[in-house]
Amino acid sequence: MEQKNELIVCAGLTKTYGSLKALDNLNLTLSGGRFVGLLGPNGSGKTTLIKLINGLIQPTAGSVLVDGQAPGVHTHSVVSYLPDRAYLNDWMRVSDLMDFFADFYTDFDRVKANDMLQSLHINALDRLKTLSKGTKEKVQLILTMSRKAKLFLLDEPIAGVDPAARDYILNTILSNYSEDAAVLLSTHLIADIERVLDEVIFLKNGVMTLHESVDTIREEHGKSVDMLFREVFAC
Amino acid sequence: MLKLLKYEWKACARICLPLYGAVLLMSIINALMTTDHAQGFLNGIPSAILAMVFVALLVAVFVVTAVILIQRFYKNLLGDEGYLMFTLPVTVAQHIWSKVIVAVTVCLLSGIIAVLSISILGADTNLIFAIGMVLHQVGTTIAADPNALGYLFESILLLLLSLASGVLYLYLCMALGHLAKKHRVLMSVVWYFVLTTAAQFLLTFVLFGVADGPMNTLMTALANALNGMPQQVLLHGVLLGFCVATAIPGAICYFGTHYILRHKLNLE
Repeated sequence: MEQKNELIVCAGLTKTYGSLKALDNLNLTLSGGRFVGLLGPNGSGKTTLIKLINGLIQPTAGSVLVDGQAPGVHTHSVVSYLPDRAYLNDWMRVSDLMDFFADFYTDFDRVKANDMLQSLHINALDRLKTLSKGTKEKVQLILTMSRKAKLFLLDEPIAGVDPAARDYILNTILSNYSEDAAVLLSTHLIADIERVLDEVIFLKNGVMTLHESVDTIREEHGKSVDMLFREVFAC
Repeated sequence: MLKLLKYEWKACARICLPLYGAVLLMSIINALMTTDHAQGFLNGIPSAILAMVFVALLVAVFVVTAVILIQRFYKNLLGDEGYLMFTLPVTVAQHIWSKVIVAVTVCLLSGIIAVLSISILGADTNLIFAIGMVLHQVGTTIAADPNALGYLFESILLLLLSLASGVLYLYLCMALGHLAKKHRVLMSVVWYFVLTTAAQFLLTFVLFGVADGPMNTLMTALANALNGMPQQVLLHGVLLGFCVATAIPGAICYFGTHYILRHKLNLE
């Protein structure tokens, strides 16, 4: 794999919660320009990894570097993060949130955000409180994808969204990230996103069991990522 | 930093300002009800109800102020909203300062509103006359002795510092509570009581515990040095001394909170 522009470097990254090892000695390097699927069953450490990369939790051991630096002001300015939960103020309007993002992120593109809102028929003057759960998720995703970030960290971005919007969202993700930016997307809905992936990472009980390009998987194993996943994680 | 302040203020103002407005409105209505005619209307029941509403609102101002202080820190930084706040390209110091500044402002405003609304309630020509007299008195004192202006500024500084220290103390308790794996709210409360008890014990110990200890020697030396100083210098000294004494625990709380949020952050 090419060595240029390493966006994420994890070295011996470990996170334990009490006696539970959420992430165990993870060594991982991701470069720009790739669409990476972070795949694994529930509780395999996907969210833990993404939170560590964002500095929202601290590693028990090991280190993580983003764009050459430990999580901090610089990494936050180049990472666009979509958490797995509703993290926006309920009382704000969608337009207030756009102001908020535009105020804090210099790479936020309001025109693009407005276009996406219109395509998904979301009224910018609505208060978040009045929106349905799925619509809220769409708003969060639109805000996240309207930035020109180097790295997009998307934690379960499509789980709560209807299939029609799912396709639109995947297409916007695809068309929105620039050549040298990377996307790390965690999900267990593999079939839906398989067509867009360049690389996949399999996580099982906090251990990375596979990190391959999708082409290699198809050539070597002669099967789709979805089939391989079902095989590896068969209960 | 200014942007953080702006959003912090917006979040507090949308709750505080309507409440302040309601309190002032009720105090004006109550002030108008003090006439004998209004008091006698329907055996005075309406005026009694209005008075009760006013008192309730006044209490609400203080409760809401306290809740906002705690909630804006806990929910916004340590709850789910922390996922947004802590991924902004902003330093932890800026987060804490923006919260402290707005919290102190809200405390001051609540105090001012309380005084103002009670003044309105008792407003008559005598009160306005009395306020005028006080202001006049302050003016002539400052004109006669410029030190008075200094005392005024030092007192205001002391007030601001005590408010900021108090707020930072609460933040530290919440940050410490957040270190626990579970029952984080409960642990914050536990920390509050532990720290308060410890601080009181320390204070008692330093002040009275050691009869011939270093503190006593220091005090004697200080008293000797101050003996014979002019009164103005003494008063300045006392006020500034209190300022420093308030700022030190505030600073400790600030650095403790900063360290935890910077290096020990573990959002659930």
